[in-house]
Amino acid sequence: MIEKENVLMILKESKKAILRKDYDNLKLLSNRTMHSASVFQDDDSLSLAVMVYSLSKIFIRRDFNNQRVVLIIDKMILSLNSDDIQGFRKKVASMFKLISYLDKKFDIYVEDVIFQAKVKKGIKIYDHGISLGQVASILDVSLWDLLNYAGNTKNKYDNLTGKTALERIKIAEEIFK
Amino acid sequence: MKYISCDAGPIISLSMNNLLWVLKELKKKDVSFCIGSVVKSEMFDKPINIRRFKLKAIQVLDLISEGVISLIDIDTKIRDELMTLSNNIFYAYKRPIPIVHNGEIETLAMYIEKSHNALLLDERTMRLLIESPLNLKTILASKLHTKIKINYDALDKFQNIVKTVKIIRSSELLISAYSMGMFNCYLEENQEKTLPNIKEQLLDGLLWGVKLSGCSISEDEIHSLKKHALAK
Repeated sequence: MIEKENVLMILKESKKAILRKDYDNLKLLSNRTMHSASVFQDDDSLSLAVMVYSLSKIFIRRDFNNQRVVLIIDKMILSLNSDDIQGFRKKVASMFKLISYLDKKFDIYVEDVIFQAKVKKGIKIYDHGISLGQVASILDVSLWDLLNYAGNTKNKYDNLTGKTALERIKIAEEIFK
Repeated sequence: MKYISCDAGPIISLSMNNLLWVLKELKKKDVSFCIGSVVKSEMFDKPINIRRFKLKAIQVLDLISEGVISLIDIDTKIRDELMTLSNNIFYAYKRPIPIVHNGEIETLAMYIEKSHNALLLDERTMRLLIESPLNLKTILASKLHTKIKINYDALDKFQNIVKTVKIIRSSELLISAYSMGMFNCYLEENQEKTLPNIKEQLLDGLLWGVKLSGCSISEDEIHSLKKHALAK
C-alpha cells in the first residue's frame, strides 16, 4: 500500500464524522484522497475515495444505524495497524457489500450510489489533470458516463489552451474546403 | 481524400447531441473519419452493454458499417513509444503520473503513422500535453498541491514526435458544418419569426451542446467561434 498513513488518518476521521453524524464533513474527507488517487492511481486510494463518498451520500439521505459501518471501519484500522493489507482489502470489499445492500434496501437513488461516487470522483481526478480515458480505465466506468458529467463542471483552467479556437477553425476549414 | 484521426470523446459528444448525421454529411466532402480498435471499444463494445447507451452504440456501429467511420490498424510500436513517453513526463512524489490512456494515444499514433490531416480530440489533458505541456504542469501542480517535476528527456522526445500535430474539436467540426450550410434546415424564414436571432441561437445550441457533453472549450472560445461563423 502506497499511502498507509493517509488512509489511516482518513479512516479515523471518517469514523469520528460518522459518530458525530457530521456527514458533510464525511463528504469533504473523500476529497482528501484525491491527490494520492490522482498521482498513484492505486486501487486502495481510489476505493477509499469512492467508499467514503458513497457513505456520505447514503447517510445524508437517510440516518441509518451506523454501528455496522463503524465496526467495519474499526476492522480496517486494525488490519492496517498490523500491516495486514489483504485483510484491509477484504474489509473494503465488505463495506462495499454493505453500501450496496443499504442502497438497494432503501432504494435511495435511481442509479446505484457506488457508481455515482465513481463518476463524481472520476471527474475530480480529471479536474486534477488526468485524461478522461485514463480516469475511465482506473475507475472502470465508461467514457460515456464520464462525458455526461464532465461537461457540467466549471473549471477555472478552461482558458489554458495551446491554440486559439480561430487557429483551430482554420485547420478545419482547410480540410473541408 | 483527407483523413481525420478521431478520439472517442468527440464522437460520443456528437452522439449525445443527436448530431452523428453531421459525420455522414462531412464524409461526402471526401473526408474519412478514422478510429483505432481501443476507440472502437470505447464507442461500441462498452456502451452496448449499458442500457442507457445501447441505442447510441448501435447508431455508432451503423456509421462504422456504412464506412463513415473507418477502423484502422495501427503500428503498436509507435503507440507503445508514445504511451511510455507521455506517461513518464510529469512526476510527483518521485513517481511518474500516468496521465493518458491507450485510446487517446492510439489516436495520436494513428495520426502520426498515417500522416493524417487532423486529430479530432475534445479532451483537455491530451490536447495540452501535445500543444502546451507547461500549462498542463500548472494544472497538475495547482490541483495536486505539490511540486511537479518534468522529465525533460521524455518531454523533448514526445514534443519532437508531436510538434506538427493539428488538433480540432467537435466544436470546430460543427462550425465548419454550419458554414457549409448543413444546418440550414433550422434557419428557414418562418423559424426566424418564432425565434429571433435564430442563427446565433443555433450556434449557441451547437457549441454549448458539445461543451456540456465533454468538449473542453471555454466560454470565450464559444464566443469567438460564434462571431467567426456569423461573420461569414
